Amino acid sequence: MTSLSKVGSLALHWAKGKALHLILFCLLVLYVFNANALYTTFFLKNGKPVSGKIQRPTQTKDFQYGFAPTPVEEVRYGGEDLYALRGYALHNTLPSTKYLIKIVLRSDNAELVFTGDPPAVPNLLLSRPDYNKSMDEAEFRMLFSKNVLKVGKYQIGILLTDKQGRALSYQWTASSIERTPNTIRFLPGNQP
Amino acid sequence: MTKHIKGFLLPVLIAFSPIIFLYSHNAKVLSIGNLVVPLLGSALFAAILYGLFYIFQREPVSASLSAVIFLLANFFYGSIYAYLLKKNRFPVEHFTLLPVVVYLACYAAYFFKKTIRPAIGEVIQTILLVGAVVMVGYNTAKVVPIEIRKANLSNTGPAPAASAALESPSKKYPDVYYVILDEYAGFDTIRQYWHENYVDSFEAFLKDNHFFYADQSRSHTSATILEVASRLNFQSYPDTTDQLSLVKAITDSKVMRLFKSYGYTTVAFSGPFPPYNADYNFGDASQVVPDNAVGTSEFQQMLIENSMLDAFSSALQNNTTSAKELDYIKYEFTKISSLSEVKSPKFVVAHLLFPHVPFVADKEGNVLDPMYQYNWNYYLGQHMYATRLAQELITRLLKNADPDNPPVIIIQSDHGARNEKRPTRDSIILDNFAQHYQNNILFALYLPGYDTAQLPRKIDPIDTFVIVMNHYLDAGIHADK
Repeated sequence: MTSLSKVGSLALHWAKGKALHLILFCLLVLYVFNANALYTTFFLKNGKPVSGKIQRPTQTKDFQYGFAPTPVEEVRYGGEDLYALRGYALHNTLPSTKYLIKIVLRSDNAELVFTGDPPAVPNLLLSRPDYNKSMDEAEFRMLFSKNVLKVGKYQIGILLTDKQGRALSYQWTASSIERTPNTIRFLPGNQP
Repeated sequence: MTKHIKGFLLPVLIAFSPIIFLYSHNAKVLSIGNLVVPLLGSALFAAILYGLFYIFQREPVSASLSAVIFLLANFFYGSIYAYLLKKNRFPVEHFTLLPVVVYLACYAAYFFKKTIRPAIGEVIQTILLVGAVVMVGYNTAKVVPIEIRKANLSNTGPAPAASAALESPSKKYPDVYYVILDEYAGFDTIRQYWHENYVDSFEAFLKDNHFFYADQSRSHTSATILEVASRLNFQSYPDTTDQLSLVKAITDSKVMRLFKSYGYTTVAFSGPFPPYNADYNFGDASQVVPDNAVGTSEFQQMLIENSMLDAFSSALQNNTTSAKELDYIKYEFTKISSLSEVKSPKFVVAHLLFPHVPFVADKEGNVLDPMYQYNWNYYLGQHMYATRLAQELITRLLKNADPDNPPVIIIQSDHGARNEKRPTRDSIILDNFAQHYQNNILFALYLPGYDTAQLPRKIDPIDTFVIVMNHYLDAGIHADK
């Protein structure tokens, strides 16, 4: 007991002498483990999932979807290094001007919803025999930052909503996105 | 005071070392002006470091050595970042790695001060100082003769008048425009690799405007310097030829001298090379990226990527760098067709670094983000825009032409698309890009009054000025191949 308290008092004495160094070290460790959360909360402006709970219906098979030949590309947008997932979701009956596209990324422990914005140069549906200009709005480009995804595999889902955000149709695709510590990979599934 | 000078000098020289080393390996094609900002910046950085460490340590020798430790961390930061990124064991972000490296560097300096006795510190400082002086001195000594030779390149005298010109001074020679689109892929490459057909309309445009298009012409090599030197001197050069001799052959070429001897006013847009021995020079080599070595942008990018500045590269490389490059290219295209201040007959040689890297424009001519400057997926867009600019240039030249004495126009690429990996992290090349595409060039000739039916479709580009000068100037030239 005596020797234990001796060790304790020696350790305390040593720690007092090195207090500044210990504080600095702890601060650094604290920062390193929370830096990503700080970055995504206070600095990252684009490529974040939409906040709030989004209702999605059970799966429907009333739209066709597909991805670009290079589905995921690194892009710099608004001064930030992001990734863009490109594809289309073409409803069987609704004109593409009547709905908005959202992308759902689902892993074992998270479900994130991103907005799919119209790409600057829509060209994925040009080769369809029934192509018309309004189909361009069925194309999407989803910007996302790898910092908002934890390491793991995310199945891609496509959600169509009306202009007020009410869910219309929903499908899980067979494709997924994998985030490794420093890369993003698209894992293709069999497209319908 | 001496201690402070010595203490300050060591980190400054250490900071200079990698910059001068990198420059000395690329001095033949870079402008000395490229050194100013990096040297001033690193001197300031070293001075601030020395000052900060002196404030905390109150000892010139240890402050000096601490600054050196920090500078070494700075030099290796980029490599550490790239290594960890490649290993992919844990997420690597500048916002975490930079504070950790700064923390470790400061503690390394702290422990150095705590454990090394002042006398030993002074010995280490002296050894390092001698080493830094030798390193900087050695690389500077390598640079000096190159700079002297570069300065002498344009100091050549005027060419004598040709006898034909003296005999008939009143003969009306046509203006001659020689436009080199650097790395412009020939039409076959665009059709075969990219399966794009926009070149069909450019080919039709050329034919509609009575251009002869040599669709089977190929460059001998994929090296700009060899190609341009050979075409401007009617002779081929072995690829072992000293680079400075080739630069001299380009800036003071036989073609330029011959045109001068016929009374031509000469104009040069020198592209990647030093100013030509011309009456008017519009090129600015410091603005553009040369061949065979890192260019202005790459030189700065490499310095940034290897230091702690890498963490701020997004902010440092905003769109203005690409916008500036693109503005310069557009200016050149416009200026070629508006040289009213230049007396005719004129010979205009315009070496345009377009669609050569850096990729700065999309197919519409919008400025691309600088991260794509060395990404070959963006070559096609730049090629499309180059095609549009070339077509507009030809239209303007023909519109402004004197109907009684129309100009000769040569639109040519030095070599085709090379799909070369560049020494920067953002460099991405294309898959399955055949080697032979790099020799597939654009070669179109507008030769008023010349029966182009006699020209073969696979004209050797070295014969370009043999054809032009023999027909329009009666120069009696033969190419030496």
